[in-house]
Amino acid sequence: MAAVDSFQNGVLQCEIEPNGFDFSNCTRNCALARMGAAPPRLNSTGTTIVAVTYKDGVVMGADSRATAGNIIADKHCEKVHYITDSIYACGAGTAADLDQVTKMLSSSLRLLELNTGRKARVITALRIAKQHLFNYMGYIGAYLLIGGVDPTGPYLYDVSANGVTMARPFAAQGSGSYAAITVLEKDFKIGMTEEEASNLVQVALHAGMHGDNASGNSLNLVVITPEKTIFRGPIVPDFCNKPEPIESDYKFKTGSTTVLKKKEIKFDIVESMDMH
Amino acid sequence: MSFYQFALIQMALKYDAKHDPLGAMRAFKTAFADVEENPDWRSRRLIERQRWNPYSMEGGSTCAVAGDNFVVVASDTRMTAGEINVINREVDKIHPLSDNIVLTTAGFHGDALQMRKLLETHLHKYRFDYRSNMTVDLCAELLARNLYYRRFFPYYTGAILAGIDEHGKGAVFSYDPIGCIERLPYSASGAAEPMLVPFLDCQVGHVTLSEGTERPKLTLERATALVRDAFRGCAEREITTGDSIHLVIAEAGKPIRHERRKLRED
Amino acid sequence: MDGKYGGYHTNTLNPTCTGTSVIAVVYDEGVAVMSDTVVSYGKSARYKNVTRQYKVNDRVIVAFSGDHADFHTLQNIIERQVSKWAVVGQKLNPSALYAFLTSLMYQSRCKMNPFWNTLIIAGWEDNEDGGKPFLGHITQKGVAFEAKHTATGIASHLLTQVIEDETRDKTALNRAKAESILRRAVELAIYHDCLADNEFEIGVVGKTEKASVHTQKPIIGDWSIAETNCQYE
Repeated sequence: MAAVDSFQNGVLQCEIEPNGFDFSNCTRNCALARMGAAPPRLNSTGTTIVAVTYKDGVVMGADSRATAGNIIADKHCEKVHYITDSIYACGAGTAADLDQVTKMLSSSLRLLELNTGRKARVITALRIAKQHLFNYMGYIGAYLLIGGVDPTGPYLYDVSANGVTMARPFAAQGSGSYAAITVLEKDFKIGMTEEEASNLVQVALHAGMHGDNASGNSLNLVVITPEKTIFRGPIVPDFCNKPEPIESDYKFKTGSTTVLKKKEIKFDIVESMDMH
Repeated sequence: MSFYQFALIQMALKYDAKHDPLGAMRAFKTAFADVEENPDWRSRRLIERQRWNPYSMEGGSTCAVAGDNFVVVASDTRMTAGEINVINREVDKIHPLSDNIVLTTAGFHGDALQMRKLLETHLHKYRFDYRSNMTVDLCAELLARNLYYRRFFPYYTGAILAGIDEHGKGAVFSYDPIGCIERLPYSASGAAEPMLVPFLDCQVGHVTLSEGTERPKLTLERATALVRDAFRGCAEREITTGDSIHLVIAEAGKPIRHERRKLRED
Repeated sequence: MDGKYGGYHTNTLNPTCTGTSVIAVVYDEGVAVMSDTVVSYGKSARYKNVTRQYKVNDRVIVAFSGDHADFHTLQNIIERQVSKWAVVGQKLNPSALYAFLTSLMYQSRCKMNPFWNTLIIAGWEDNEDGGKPFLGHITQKGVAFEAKHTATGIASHLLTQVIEDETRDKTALNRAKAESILRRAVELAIYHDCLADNEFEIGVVGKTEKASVHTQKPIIGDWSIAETNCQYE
């Protein structure tokens, strides 16, 4: 019994222990894999995310497709994550990691803003993100573009899962980044207007969505200026529409399904919600 | 046989869950100890994985539906490298081999090309030897044997052979990569097979309808409409299927017709 | 199995001296092919001014990316094929060469001894109605397709989409326009392909032009972005 207790203890310990991930199942999972068990599939956002700085702000954008293997798991996935009112992050990589990392960034920066009474800086978001990611040696599969405007100007940073970061005038990430970055290289100019910048981001996203199987469906944009943050989307490009509608009607007539068994259940209405 | 496969078989031999339920636990313990001793990240498995793979998958899907006097074959036209990158939007994956035989493939395109060449050669030789066209049944058997001939280095194609048989009826033959052959009323293969088959089961096979319900007749119009809708549906949810639908329609006593429709391109 | 290394194949399954991407575009009366002229040894630029386009005859150019040594072998095989055709007084046409090379690549893949090349066959196909441009793409594993424009290697990720947008809906893409697209492609390739070079060649074969390969003026590109790169974070 003592063995069981210590085992339970160990499990509980992991649940209660507040900091970090629990690696205790690693060896077990390897053993199961060797016995022929298939590992679970992760939702990964094979993605195109693009961001561009312009004269006085940042435009960031992302497609909205999340894939699990070759299947589209989510057509309207939101990949532009809120960090603070004037800082946003676009994410590529493992969906769950991105959600958690951006939530963590958002909450710690909000705390910082409340503590200091000032707007958070983009560099702070970057530093928190890179230190967190570096700690986990790339095992947190989050590739981020962190962009925003703070009192010192507009900034855009590219963060890799292993903790490498770069400041850039324009950037693309995800599986569609190859197609997108070429468009950016082709048409990017220093000191563009807001309209030019948001057009460029859209064209780059189109290239990624068109040429990359794992990106598509629709795009979301966020334009961050010193005064305000405008969110636009979802925008559906022409090539992402069904060119022809479904032509037949697939309604089944009543009685199409064989009734195997009937059972009546009497119930009282205790409470009802008015849906209108 | 690789070291890893060998180890796996050894492991699997150690227990049989049905006859010896405790054996599963014992095997697990062995595997567990083994992992602690030689963890994955230090094994030859990683090296194994980096060996050159003679196959590549070009994605896309195909399907075929047979009717009383016709057969409809359809595929998308996208070619993909590494599941991700679109390299061509206008590839033909349907190969009409003669006036009444159509081959369609998905999977490794190199094997598909070779298989087409092989069948064309055989058909040509048959025409030369016997002064008549090969029937689709015969061609189907020929393909099965050719696939099985490469049992241990398979043609990695989900092949479907369709055509009009001697009685003027539509025929669809479905294969697995190593030559298991089956004549079916409809079939699908490729990346979106798991989506196409249930749809066809429901609409052509009517497997969900109860006994007395009226079943719509499978006319050529209905079949083509269903197949087009099937691909429109797949393009919504399967990433390697898209760009356009290529339909090939063979009717008894008529020449083969081609039809192309647009699909979404993202 | 062969070899003394415990059942492992001893065929060369990795390239040594390599060339990076090839890009090709079909225009109204011909095909233009672009390849740079550097030979990489791993990540070093080992040799300069080495062509990657082989003019087979007046009507066909074969360009390749991948291993140089393997291509020399292929070149030898192609030469033999040309002389075979010459015996019966024929000129090798692009689609015949394309079919031949497809089978060849597929065959060597089946022997698990692949040619480490991706081949681009560009040519002018003579026929009764005045002929048509031909552009074929063959991979190492024998996957082959014809296209209106194509790119190999990393350029297939980086550039196909841009080139598709450039060539789409343009009914009359002439030689000058095709070449300018390719020049732009070189510039975009050198920004993100660390094995690409700015010294390059464009091969042209068309209705009126006999197949020829021209060395181009190197492209410098725009590096003003570099100034934004002094960064501390």
